[in-house]
Amino acid sequence: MWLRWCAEFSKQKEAIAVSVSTQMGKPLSQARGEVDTAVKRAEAIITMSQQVLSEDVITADPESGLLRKITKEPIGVVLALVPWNYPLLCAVNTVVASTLAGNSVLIKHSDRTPAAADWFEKTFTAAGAPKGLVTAFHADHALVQKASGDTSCCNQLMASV
Amino acid sequence: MLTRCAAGAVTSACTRVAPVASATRTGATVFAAAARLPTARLQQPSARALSTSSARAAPAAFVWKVDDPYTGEIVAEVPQLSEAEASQRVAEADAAYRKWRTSTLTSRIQLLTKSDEAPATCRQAQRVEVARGRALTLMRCCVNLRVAQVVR
Repeated sequence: MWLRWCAEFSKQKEAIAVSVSTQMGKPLSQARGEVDTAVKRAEAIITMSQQVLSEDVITADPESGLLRKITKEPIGVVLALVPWNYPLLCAVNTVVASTLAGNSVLIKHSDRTPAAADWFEKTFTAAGAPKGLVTAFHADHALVQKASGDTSCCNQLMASV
Repeated sequence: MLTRCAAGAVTSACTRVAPVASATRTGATVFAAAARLPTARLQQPSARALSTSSARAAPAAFVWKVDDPYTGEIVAEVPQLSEAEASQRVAEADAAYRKWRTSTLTSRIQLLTKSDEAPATCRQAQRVEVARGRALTLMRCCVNLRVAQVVR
């Protein structure tokens, strides 16, 4: 039986909060709050996903014989580059939205909060996610640049931080 | 195939100092770790190049050591991926994507929630509707929009 991700993540609340707090210095009370908010955010994205990912039918006119619609299709492997200040909240936005849309996700956190990526991988595995769906990606800048295959994006990112 | 989604990368630039200025672990002591904040570091590139070239057969694993900004204690040691390991992760993620993309939205939602949670989240729908603009923005980076025209 699959244990689900929101439940798995909530179950590890204290351990995750301590991990976040000790890595980046946020007070423990705020780190606990971030775990709760991350789960709430996930639930909100899940609720919205059914409408957002549904097909938009533009014309379904039997007389003209035309069906025109906009479908939302997954892109591929998403590489999430996550900052240290909200390591759970910033990640959950990308991880949950991407997996619901049919993508798989590699998570590269700031080197201030790398263990946060492991918590996502662990809890998704515990929830029964297939191997490779959500993976911690502890790579340095050069490897991230290589993996993304697009150097201009990384250069812009590097320049902005 | 690999696509970037820089979650919050922009916010990290503008909020970098905020948590340091206001953060207190106990509520009473403001810790003055601003100078130490960027100390989570991987080993120097020069050291890395040296050790990998001198021990080609088994390059040493490089480890991120994260110190608690409050106590200075090392709280996490995370081995950095080698290029081969990184390639393997990308390949596994790609394989997972090829299967996952054919799954239904319902089964994806079931991975994330308990099945008996679905009605509860549906009750939020009206409230969430207001925030739909944001949902679209979040989701838009995760999907290709394809305009399909089917002639019957």
